[in-house]
Amino acid sequence: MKKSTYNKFLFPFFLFPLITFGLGVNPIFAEKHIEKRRRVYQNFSGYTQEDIKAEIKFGRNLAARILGRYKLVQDKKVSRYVSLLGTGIAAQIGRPELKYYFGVIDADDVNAYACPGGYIFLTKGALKSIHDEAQLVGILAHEIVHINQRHVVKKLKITGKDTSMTSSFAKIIGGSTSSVRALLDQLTDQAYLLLFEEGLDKQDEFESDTLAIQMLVNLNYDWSSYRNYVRDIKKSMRAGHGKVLSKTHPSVEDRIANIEKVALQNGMQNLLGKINKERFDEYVVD
Amino acid sequence: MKKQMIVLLLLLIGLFAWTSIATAKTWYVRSYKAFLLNAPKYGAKKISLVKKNEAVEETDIQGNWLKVKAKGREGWISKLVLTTSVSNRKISLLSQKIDITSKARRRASTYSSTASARGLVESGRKRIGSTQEPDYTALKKLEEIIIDEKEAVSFLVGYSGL
Repeated sequence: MKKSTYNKFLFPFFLFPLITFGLGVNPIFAEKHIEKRRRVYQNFSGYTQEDIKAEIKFGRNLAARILGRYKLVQDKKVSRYVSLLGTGIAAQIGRPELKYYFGVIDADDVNAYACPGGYIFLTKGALKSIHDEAQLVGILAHEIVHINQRHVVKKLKITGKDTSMTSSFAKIIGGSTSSVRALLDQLTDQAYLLLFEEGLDKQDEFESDTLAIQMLVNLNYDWSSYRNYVRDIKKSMRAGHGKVLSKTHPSVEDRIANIEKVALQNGMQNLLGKINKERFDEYVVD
Repeated sequence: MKKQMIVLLLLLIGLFAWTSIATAKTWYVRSYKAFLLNAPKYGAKKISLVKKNEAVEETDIQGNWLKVKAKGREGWISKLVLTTSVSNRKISLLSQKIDITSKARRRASTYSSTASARGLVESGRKRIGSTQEPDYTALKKLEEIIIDEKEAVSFLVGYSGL
């Protein structure tokens, strides 16, 4: 072959695959590199301080709405107990830029609510149905995951001119005109409906359970106690205290199946942990 | 021909090295304590202890598990206890100073004029079509409860045997 022909066609022909190979598009390494790039994108949240302030503002609006419906319980011992546990969990696995608040609300329904920006409420009904500290920690961890993963904000599908959801969110929430305030109230209405009527996507609830049981294991708590709590939710539903839960969450059977699958995949199935029943009884039952 | 093959080979090696360096990622431990394990599963043998804010270098990934290097040791750790940022600065809309002493109970909260101008509606004005009126007074009471983070972690960790 003539040298000029080689230089014109074959050299680039050999060069091109080598470049793509090195850049990770080669099938041998592509999956790993794409996975790493995807994770880098997801883990670098890309949220500005203004986005986060907007999220907190929105969450406060929603939290105030919930407190307009249900009063905070006056039992300081129980409130402090829940706040100590919740703050301790959030300090280890919550979003570091958020301050998390935990309140027990005077509602007989068995449920917990997570508002964007760090506001978490547990009903009195839920507290009565919990048997030990591991179950309580699991529930609080489940709600913290909803906030960590921005499930409510994403569900509302707020979009704007650019493709960045949250920069549009900040523009919407951060404004001070009356039309912006009206829009904020509208979004809060939608979020309120999500929490009390429609529910989040099933995958979001599964994700919260998935990460909650792993958080329990990381904190040396018994993950199976949380699984038992979820299983026993059916009793609360039969007693008429799970109306909102049944509307907004996947079926108990599906949740249990997911929890057990995750436990198996992560080598958790034989792991035991603390339940701290005595301390729980001291603060909640006595 | 031989020269060009050598050049191509060097280019290939260089690109491999570049992609390895480009995708290396530093994480920071966000829980107060965590362990590097010898396998990507809970209950695996513990290799070494890492502490809060310690930097670890990612070398591999499997689901929610990362293989990392720290202080010359390499092992698996759950991504749940890691973060990409070491900053613990809280973002807040409240202008009060956060008192983290364990004896502090309540502090009056005030709102900056900027926050007020941005439409933090505190007056409880009626909204047409609203199904539920907000209670900002109760919210402020909730936000005034100060929980010391270290005390909370100690309360949680002390009993959980971590």
